[in-house]
Amino acid sequence: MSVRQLIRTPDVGSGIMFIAFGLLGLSFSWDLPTGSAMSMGPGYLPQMVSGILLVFGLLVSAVGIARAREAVPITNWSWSALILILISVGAFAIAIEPLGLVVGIVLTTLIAIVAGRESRWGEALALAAGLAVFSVVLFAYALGLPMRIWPSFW
Amino acid sequence: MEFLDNIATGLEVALSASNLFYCLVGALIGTLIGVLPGVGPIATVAMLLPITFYLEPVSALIMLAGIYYGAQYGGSTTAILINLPGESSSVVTCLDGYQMARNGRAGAALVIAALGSLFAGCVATLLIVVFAPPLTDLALLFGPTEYFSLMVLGLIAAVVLAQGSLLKALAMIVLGLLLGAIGTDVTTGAQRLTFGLSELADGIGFVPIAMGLFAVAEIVKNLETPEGRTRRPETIRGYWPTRDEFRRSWPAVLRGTGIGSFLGVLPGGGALLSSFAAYTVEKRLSREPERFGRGAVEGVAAPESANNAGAQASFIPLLTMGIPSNAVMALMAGAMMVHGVQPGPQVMNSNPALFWGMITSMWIGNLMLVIINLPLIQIWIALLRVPYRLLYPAILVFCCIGVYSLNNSTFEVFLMLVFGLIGYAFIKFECEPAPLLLAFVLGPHMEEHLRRAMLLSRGDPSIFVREPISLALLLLAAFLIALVLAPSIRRGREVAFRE
Repeated sequence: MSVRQLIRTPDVGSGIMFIAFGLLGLSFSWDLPTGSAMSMGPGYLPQMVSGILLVFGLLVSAVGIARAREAVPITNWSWSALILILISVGAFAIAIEPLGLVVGIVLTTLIAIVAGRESRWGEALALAAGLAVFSVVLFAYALGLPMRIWPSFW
Repeated sequence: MEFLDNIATGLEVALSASNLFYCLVGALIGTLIGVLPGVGPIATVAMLLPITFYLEPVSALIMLAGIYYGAQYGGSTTAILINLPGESSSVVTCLDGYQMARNGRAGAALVIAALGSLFAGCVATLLIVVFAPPLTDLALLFGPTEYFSLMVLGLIAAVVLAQGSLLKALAMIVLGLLLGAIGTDVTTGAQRLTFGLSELADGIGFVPIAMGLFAVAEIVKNLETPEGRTRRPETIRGYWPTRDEFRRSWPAVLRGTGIGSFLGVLPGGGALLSSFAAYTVEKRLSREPERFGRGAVEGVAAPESANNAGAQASFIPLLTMGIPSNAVMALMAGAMMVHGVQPGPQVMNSNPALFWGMITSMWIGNLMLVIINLPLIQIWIALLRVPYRLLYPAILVFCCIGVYSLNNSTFEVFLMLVFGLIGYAFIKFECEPAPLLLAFVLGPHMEEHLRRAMLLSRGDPSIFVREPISLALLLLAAFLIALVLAPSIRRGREVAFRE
């Protein structure tokens, strides 16, 4: 198995992920005072935990490499669905404050529907409208959450 | 008698008109979302958490508990009628439940499942009432050293009994602890791992993590496989089980209840393990094991009772010791903290109305489930036909609104997005996210106890093995890890989960 394939197996891939998180944790807690075991500084726990995570990452990768023969590389990442779903969540976050709940919901719904590739446009618009009406009634009126409903320039 | 006093205190709270209402709403919404395809109890509870933040703490917890066992129940309905488990703990119900439905006994299977669950829920709740006070007294004797070791044991046990690679699960725990350390250090006030973002000064919110990992990531995974045609549910002819079905069921219900109550208390146990164990036991004990898989009524009665008993019993470690034993309990712990209630032994004494009110509401909720579910079965069947392509945009919208509404913070919506991405990577890398969530919830308390213990021992870590209770807890944790590593047991564990 080539190295390219190897890093795509669940074991080695997750090992690398744990190593990356461990290094990230170490680098960001490096400057914090460690203190001593008796009076721990703010850096004590993050540094210790990051170090342990690094070790676990190495162990998981090692096991993955040792068992490479029986491992199957992950091939079925659905990148388009992932990216579109993330964009639809991001769209809500960007839209909610300047443009309000209604626009946010319609954007999120329509982008999410593109991710699934199974709905027709008529159905999508009906769903978006239905969700917008339902959410405004439930969240803004019934539960009284303080949220902008319509765009600010209206 | 103290026992009856406690129940009376609880009933007074649980039977108030508003709490009855929230219990009913919780059970109904839970069932409703539980029968929808592809939405499990964890995602359901995560999605509905923000709504409950506007209620009184007692009402919120009563409603959340209702959502939990409602979702559990809804999952069984889909398992029986369309051979599609709503969540993992009803996987075994599919085996015989769907066969019963194909034999024209769908009604009987639903009734047996409902009555078995009701009985099991009542018994398990009674166990909580009986065992909560002594366990609480025990936990109150614990100092920081014992508490730290108890939490270590809780986390280890949770991964040992779960599926998948032990090493990865341990790594997920450590990652959860690291995420829990983000924010302002309580003792010194220093900013830790905040990447210079002022929004992270209070730490990462619990809700964005849970929703990202369990709702958003799950949606992306479900979109990988195109949706087939929706399956036609089996028709229901007649509800009442025959005399023979009753005769076969009741011993199975008793055994399932026992197994579920026992396994549910163990960390990492809960509903999933209980239902698998109950089914296996039933098949072993049966004089005609060949009937299993072909519509044996015991194969529905036992796992259904067990998963409900397990679901209720898993509240025991949370309410008495403050240790959540699975992901749903971690969500409950998070909800309690948002309401300013620190789960642990002090809840029972400082807030008896909340404690006993929530527990007694479980009786009422279980009864409500049976009463509302059997007549409403046609509605649930209609819901089974809702296609997933219309569902997931709605789930996504409710998650966004829910997360945003917590603090009116767009930052938290972005956090949910980031954890959706990470959660999808976890799914692809075959890493269970539940241990991460448990560790994230427990992490800050573990650090607190570790600090105090080390201060008391003047920096000597051997305190953890010199104190007898702490030593016993740690030995138990080590023993559990050794068990999993022993080859014969590892093989058995794999077989048990495959079956």
